[in-house]
Amino acid sequence: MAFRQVEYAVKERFPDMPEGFTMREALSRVRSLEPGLSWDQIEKSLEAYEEYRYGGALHPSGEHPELAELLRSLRRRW
Amino acid sequence: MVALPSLRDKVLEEVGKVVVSKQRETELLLISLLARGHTLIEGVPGVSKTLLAKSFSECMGLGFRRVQFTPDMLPLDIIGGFVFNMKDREFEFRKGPIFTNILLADEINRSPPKVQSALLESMQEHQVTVEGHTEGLPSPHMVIATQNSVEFQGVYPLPEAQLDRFMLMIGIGYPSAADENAIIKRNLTGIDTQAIKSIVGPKELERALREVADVKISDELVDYMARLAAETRADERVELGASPRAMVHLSHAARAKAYVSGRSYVIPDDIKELAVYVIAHRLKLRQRSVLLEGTVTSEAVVREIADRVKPPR
Repeated sequence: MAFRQVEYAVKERFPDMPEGFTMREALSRVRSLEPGLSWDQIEKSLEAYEEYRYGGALHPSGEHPELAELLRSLRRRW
Repeated sequence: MVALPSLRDKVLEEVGKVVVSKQRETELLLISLLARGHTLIEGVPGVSKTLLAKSFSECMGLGFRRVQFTPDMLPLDIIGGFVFNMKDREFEFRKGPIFTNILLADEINRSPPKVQSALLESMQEHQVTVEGHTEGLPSPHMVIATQNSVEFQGVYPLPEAQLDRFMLMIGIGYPSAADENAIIKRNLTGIDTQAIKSIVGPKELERALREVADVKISDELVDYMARLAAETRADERVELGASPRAMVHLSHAARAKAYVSGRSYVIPDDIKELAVYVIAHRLKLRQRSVLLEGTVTSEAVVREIADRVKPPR
């Protein structure tokens, strides 16, 4: 799942993040540094992921170019 | 189930007509009501504690009673008692002000422990027992208690058992300069408390209470809460950690938080965000920690714990 990769990328990019960070907190921090990304789409993807993970919805399918863009951004700075 | 973010928006807007900049606190009161909990509001004098509680109650359209707690109160002043009916020549139970949907217990720490403990059964069991006679309380039933955080003379601090029965504690500090400006201006023209309308009908509230109970909370989130609780008990600065009841309250509050956010499932952020409001007032810090780390507070300890316990991601 793309969000697993986002989690690892966030940890590498921000080694000072406390162990107890949530995905929303992590994305909020990235957003303050990278406001130009497709944040509306990223938020929708996160909501779909949360609904799958905690709400019992079906696994979200399809391409997620916004998450690929987010990952590239996190790794570029590193 | 259709979750209701609109309910929160309506309540925030209505209370905001009278109370300046207390959106967060208003939302917490709504969460507590929907989770069938009780709330303690603590703050210095003159920061709208009572006004907030009264305005919230009015806009929810529920039965409301306010009791000003004083040192000379007796338990029957709250729960009621048996009085002799001269006409029928028998004792009959006369209900006290607790028989309402929302009871505002103003300055609760001004009354002695005997009176405070009279609230215990009602808060936990939603019923009152006097001399073997038991009466159920109206549903929903919520106690909103206020207490002053700076007075130490002539007050009776709430015991741990009583604090543990409050689902949430909301601390209210001084407003920002901008908010204070708005408060002064609003008071210059006089606050119109009649401006608050009852905007939630009994059916809407009943439906919301029912649907909150259906909000899904996954096993890994329950495990996350258990790890948070364990960490409060293991922290060397803490003498008394979070009780199992605290975690039950946290799970209910997280469901209500998810519901008013328009979700039918809880996410880790609901739990992490509410942890400080649900757990901090129940922690008892070791005297040594308070003395050595002069600025350490229960709230800071809970935030640190929430920052080191890994949530599901």
